[in-house]
Amino acid sequence: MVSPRKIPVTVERIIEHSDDLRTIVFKTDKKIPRFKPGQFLHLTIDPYNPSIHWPESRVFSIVTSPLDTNSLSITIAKKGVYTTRIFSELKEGSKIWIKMPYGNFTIKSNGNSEVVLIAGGTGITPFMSFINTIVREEKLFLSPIKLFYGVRNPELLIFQNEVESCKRKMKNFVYSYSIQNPRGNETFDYHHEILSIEKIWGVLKNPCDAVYYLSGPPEMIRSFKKLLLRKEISPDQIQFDAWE
Amino acid sequence: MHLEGNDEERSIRKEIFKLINKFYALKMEKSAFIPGETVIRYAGRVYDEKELMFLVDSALDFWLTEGRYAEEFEASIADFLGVSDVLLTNSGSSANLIALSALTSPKLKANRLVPGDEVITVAAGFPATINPIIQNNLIPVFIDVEIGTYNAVKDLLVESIGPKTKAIFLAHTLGNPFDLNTVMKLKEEFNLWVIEDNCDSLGSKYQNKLTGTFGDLATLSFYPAHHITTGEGGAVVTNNEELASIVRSFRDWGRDCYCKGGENNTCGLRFSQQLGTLPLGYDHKYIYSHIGYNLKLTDMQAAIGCAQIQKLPEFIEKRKNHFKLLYNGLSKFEIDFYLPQTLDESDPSWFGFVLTLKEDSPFTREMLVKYLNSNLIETRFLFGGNLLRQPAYQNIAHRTVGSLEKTDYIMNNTFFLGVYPGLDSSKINYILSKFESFMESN
Repeated sequence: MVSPRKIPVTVERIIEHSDDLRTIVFKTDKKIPRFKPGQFLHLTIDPYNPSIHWPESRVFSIVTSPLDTNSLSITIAKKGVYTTRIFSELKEGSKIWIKMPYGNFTIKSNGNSEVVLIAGGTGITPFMSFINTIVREEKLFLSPIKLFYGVRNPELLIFQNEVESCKRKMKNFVYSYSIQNPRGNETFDYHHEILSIEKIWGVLKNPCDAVYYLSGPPEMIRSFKKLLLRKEISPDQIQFDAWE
Repeated sequence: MHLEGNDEERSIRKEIFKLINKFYALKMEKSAFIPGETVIRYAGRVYDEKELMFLVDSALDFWLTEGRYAEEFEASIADFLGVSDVLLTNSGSSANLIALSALTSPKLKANRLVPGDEVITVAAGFPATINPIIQNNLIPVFIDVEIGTYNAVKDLLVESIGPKTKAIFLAHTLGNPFDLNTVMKLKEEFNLWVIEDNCDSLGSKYQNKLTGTFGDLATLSFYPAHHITTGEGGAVVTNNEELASIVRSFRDWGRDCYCKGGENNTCGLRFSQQLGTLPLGYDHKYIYSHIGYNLKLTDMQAAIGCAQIQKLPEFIEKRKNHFKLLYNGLSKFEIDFYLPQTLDESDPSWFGFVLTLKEDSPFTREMLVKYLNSNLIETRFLFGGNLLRQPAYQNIAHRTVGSLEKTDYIMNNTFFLGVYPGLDSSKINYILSKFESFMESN
């Protein structure tokens, strides 16, 4: 992990996906610290300057690619007290501090074997930085990539343009959406079901050789991990992005 | 400099900085060079009011461990060298210790160094390069050096590789880059770890690339004799993030946690991991994955570093110029001295100007050094000479490839002069004039 740094950022734009889900785009005068797709940052909305203790903060996966040197975005779901404060206090022009990068949920090549990305809800966010990067640098990643993205409601299915753009540009990338409660008027392909390991297992070419990246609600990660281990997948082949 | 605090605090800081400027101007009035009266040091700190201001600015924060200045200093070093990770330490010797110790980490699995593994190095150098090898129960393999470059002999590097050889740990002696081409080829061929001790060579280049950026790890020193100073201080640098996190662990008590001082739950998993045979949820702040040390740098020292690194390009240029002046002035005495030599690929950021007396020189090193010292010109031998002859190393387990004949010769006949930025043409002319007088009467 590159030594993390603290930088001041300004909210440039807020994209509202729904009442409880938004992407925030930041700009900064400072150099954005080098990071890898899949890493996360800490964000604080409390007053801070570098001569005092870092205040309370929350962690969010970085959505933008490291190739974007001018801006940074994260996606936030309103879940608790702090994220509710973020929703009410952060506006365009707000100035706050972040520190980054952290984490080692970074996607590695798996030779000719599949790289399986399983995203539940906002768990798509750490994969977005990866997708945003490989689209621009196709030659960097050659393993077959399979994205399985499941949500409760269609409003929570975000970044469809980016995912579809990746599919168009990358011969080795395929994706599949699962929606638990569709409206019925969706104009794209999806499976009307909850994400499940059994269904995923069934569509993989060589599930025993794949590496699985799990990102989503803690219960999903726990249960998927358990199911994969039961299928005798080695713990080294299961990577997950988990928070307390 | 970004002033911290509220408006009133910032205003007080500004007032303090004005006084520092005044103080520094007074201090500098007393420092003119008087030939024959002023000691010409071989090295030393070179600074101006900025170092004092940064240090005081940090002191006013009263942030006693790593803080904003450490972050900035790390970033500046990373930018200068073009590396991804910089771990500040309390000395270059500590940097060497944790760089080598990191290679013993169980996280490296089959590639880790284990007791009995061999590390190729030289005896003609400073103890801090070889001590970590011994301290980690590894076997140093000593090879001879060339007179002129004072770096490992190329053929001996190749010859020294044995079935137990797992790493090469060499310093760029006095700023002069060693044969990185050969070393990196050996690394590739025999899957060796390479650590560059770059403590004396910040700013040196090999094939137009900065030293300290070739090996798996490299170390820097910020002791006052070095290219930039923080008083005591050093750093490990690397482009390998896995190694960086292991080095950080060894530096920080061996802990698994990477929170900075005063921070909590940076990883987001403070109370939800199960490691070792600890209970699930044991506080990650107190989980240890290595048997480590506490070798961190303070923010006040890093503040000095932030001011110093702004001067680094100028310091490197001055070192090169002073070297050139000495070389041009002393080359007429080549009949009695081996002059410094470099590989074609090298562009050193010199630490010192090294001379070795030739076999048929009519005088001894001791005669010359005594003369120079009595004329207030500081000199130094080449560090430990032959470290195997030092009292501390009489009974260490080691292997030697061939004889260390040249190392012994250096031990008896080599010394170096300073080239640091605190010199100037008047001091160097004085040094040259003293050489002239000595050579005339010997």
